[in-house]
Amino acid sequence: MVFVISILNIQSQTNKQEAKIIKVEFSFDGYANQPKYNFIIYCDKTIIFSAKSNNFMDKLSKDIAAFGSSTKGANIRFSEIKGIFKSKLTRNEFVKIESLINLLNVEFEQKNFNSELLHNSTVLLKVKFKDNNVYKIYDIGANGSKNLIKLYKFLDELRFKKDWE
Amino acid sequence: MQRIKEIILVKREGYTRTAIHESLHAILVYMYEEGLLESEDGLPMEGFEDFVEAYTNYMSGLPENIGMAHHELMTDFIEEMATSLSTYALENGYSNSFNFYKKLCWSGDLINTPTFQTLYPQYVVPSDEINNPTNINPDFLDIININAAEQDNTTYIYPHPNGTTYEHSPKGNPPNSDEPCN
Repeated sequence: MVFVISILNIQSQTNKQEAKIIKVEFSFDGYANQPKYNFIIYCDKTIIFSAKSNNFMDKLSKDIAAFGSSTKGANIRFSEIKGIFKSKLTRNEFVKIESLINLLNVEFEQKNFNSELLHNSTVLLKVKFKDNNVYKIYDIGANGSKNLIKLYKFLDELRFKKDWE
Repeated sequence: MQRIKEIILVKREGYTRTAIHESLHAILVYMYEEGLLESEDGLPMEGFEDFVEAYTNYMSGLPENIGMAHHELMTDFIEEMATSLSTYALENGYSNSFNFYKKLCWSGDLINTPTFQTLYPQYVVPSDEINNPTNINPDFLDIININAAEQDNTTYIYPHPNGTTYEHSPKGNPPNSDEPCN
């Protein structure tokens, strides 16, 4: 019985790896004044970026981002992106995202991650494959695994790499 | 609820704002694990229903953001945290208003709780977020910049469209070898 289940699992994982992604939904809900944003990526490489709050070009090193100016130079809030934007991923960017997602077999099986900490950012990832299978990951702490962190980092950097319209 | 308030008020010496915040996390965990948030019939005590449910889910391995449950409950204890902080501050030569210490206690993820966002929305008129983004709610601005001024040891100046220029300067001293806590 165990042998049969193992074969079914391997087949399921192989199918997932070969299946093409048709839609990715990614939501990052940052701790304190860390960013809050969503991405939706479609298989035609269209990417929708919903920059909800605290999407600063410079990395916020502490909990709170002030409003206004100080004697210590430009305020980080001056670099904030806010609103709903659209762009097209390059082929390389799309392939990269697809390859990072294809590494997530174990993570898709586990589904839920929890850092066990009280001060957390949270990620919700939802991927729909061409075979109509939908996989979700809920990552409290946004550090569920090395492969997840690689994907988060790549997506995070897209916020300020793309020409948004 | 009263029992937690008493513990916070007693545990006041040597605590700064963050230490008080983290202590309250520890108190809540302790009280849940010792069954002190349940009444004799085993049901959650009044005011702790959501927290106990979240913690029970979390302990059962369900995907529960226990941090958010903690911080939402902590919004009930802003007054008590501020009392501890102001007492500590007074003993160390600071004499700011109680209101200042209350604002300082809205720290970390407390600003992401529904309670904070209801009490102090960033925009009084929601459409200002798009149409008039500098028209920030002065009460919200006050809390964020009071915290930021202490955090960064910097004065922040905000010329508000209501004609007032808001200035927030740090009131504590940055930690140093003579004063390891501010």
